Amino acid sequence: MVTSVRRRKPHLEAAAGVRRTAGAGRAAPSTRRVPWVFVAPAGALCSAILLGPSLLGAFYAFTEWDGLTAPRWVGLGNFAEFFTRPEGAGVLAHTLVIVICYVAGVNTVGLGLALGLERTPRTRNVLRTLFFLPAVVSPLVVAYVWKFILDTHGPLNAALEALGLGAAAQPWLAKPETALPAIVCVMVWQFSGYHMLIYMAGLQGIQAQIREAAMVDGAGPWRFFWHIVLPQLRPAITIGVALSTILSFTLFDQVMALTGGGPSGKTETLGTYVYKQAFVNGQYGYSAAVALLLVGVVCVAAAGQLRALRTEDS
Amino acid sequence: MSRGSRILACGALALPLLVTGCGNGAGDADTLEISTISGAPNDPIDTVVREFRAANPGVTVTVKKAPFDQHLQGMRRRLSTGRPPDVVTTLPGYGESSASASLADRDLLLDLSASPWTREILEADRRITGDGTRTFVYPVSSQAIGTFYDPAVLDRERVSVPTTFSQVLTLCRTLAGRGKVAFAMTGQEGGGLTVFVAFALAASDVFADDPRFGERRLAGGTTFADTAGWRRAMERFQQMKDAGCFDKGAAGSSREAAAQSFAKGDALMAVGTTVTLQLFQAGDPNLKLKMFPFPGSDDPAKVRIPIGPAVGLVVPKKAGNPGLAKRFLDFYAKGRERYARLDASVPAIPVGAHGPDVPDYAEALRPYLRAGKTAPIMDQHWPNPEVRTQYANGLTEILLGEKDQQPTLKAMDAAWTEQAP
Repeated sequence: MVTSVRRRKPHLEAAAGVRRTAGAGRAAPSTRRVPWVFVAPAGALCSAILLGPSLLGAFYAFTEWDGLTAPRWVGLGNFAEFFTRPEGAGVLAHTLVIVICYVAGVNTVGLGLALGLERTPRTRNVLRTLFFLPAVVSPLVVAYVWKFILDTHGPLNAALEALGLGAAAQPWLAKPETALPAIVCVMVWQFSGYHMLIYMAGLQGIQAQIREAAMVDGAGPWRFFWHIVLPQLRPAITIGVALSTILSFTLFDQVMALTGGGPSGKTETLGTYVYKQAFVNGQYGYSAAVALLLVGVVCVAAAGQLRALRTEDS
Repeated sequence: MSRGSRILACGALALPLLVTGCGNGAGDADTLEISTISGAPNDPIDTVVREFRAANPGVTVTVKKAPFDQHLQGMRRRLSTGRPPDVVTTLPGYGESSASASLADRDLLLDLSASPWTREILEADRRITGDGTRTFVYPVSSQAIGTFYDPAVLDRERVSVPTTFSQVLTLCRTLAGRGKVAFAMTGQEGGGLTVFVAFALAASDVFADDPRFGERRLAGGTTFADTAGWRRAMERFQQMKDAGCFDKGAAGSSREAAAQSFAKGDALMAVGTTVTLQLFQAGDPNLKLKMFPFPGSDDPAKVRIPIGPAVGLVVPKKAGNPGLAKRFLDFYAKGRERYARLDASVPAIPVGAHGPDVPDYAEALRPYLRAGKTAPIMDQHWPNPEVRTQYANGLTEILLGEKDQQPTLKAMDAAWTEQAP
């Protein structure tokens, strides 16, 4: 408590200073304009390359547009079409399966790695670097490497056969029941090191007194994890879950490189579907509608995470 | 500098930018911009451009190349902004959202009917290069679907080229018993080689009895699901899968993996178009490949070879210099036989009295072409790329173990649209 009051003091003083300055008299109009001058170039650039196209894309979502001729207003027709098309439900289901499995997987593995590294002070730095390394490689490169590994005649099946486990060898990316899990596994493999860092930072924030108090009270490892570590890690978990949720909803590279949405559309996600509808089928308006839907889903998910974070803070 | 002078200076600086930006894209009378696909080895367009420049002193020709997908997307974007290049490479017919017929339907292409070479276009290609009366695309090269094989490998395996569909199935079973695969196959990436096998089957099963099926389907006079030939073609594909013609992981294999499998001799044959030779030689450039007609029927008289233009050149209606663009196409067409030799292709418009032709490695296909036993490359008549996607998905479903093919044909009919997207 004392610490938090001390932390707040400078802010309070600064705020009081601002009030004093403001009370001393209003700044001249030219002075008030200065911040806007600095903000204007970045603001204009952001509007031109981010805000403008996004708003334009949102407009096209309500039109039938082929990218060549003038768009025709269709209202909510494109959205209705998505939910009535035979592939729409599948695309949504694949996306949700990936989101749920990836978020659970990457955060569990990340937390596991962070907890494990906490107990290995000697090799911690080396292992941390090794685990984090895949996260700095392009997802496309990682996906192509794994595509080679998971190929029917790839090293994984060759290794299984060499070990006498030939019966377990699979065309991993060719079967619907293994292709989707394979995508999730590749993503978890790549990004669990990244989430490990988030949880390591969270673990370092647990105060030594709390740890010592738990030990003195005789808490076992499981009890310590469940009642001390996990509650203290909630902010880190919230960040980890939020980031992994957004990443998995907007997933594109890995699916395109690993399966291309196949076999027979069994791993098609919202991201790859949007791309194909626009650039393969030339249905730009419909594609923009699905993209807008994706934005909505991500916003709802992110808002849910933020709300959970606020609840934790309060 | 006074406030007024500053405004004047800014205006002077901005004016050229405004003029450039707001112009209608009309090019200089002596400049020609060509947009084409990159990555083709020995691309004849470079030679054509060099010779065109030499023959037209003072003319500036710029060639912009981009990878296939990027090129088609860029072309669509530039067509929509009203500042297209003068000459653009695209796919003839339908089949892609940026293919020539899709663009012609939207009145975006210049009518080239007055050009001298249009009179020599093969009758079968008229509905692909135009709408039957007008011509919108100069078809550069031709492609035919057949079966690639290495004669030395077949000799080593003591098997011979099949001439009937039953022989294909027997060959598949024989090779499967030896741990080999008859046909390299990939079901990934929106169809891959599955579609070529299916087109080869449909050529014999559908077009031998109904050579005008493509045009009748375009006119709405028939459907896939109601055509016995299409059902039979799907059943034959199923029989091939059951006979072990394809690798067990074929549904998820990439084109590269299939090519590697072919190059290593794990798969003995591969069905593809003549323009995919380089894909199968990529695994081993020393491969001396040949092609034989894929027997899609047990009656050799019913075997048909799917053939059609591979790539074409179009002139957008809003091209800055349409006159010079037409002159360029005429120049290209005049020397097409010589230019085609540069990349070992065959001109889509035959020279002289010759009919359609194929490269020498596919000479086994020639008797069929000479006898008129050909079929179109089917998706060049399909206005919506979604039809091909549904077809490819259905074929992949068969590779995955699906037994009922009727839903695929119905899905193709459902995806059919009167107009290209």
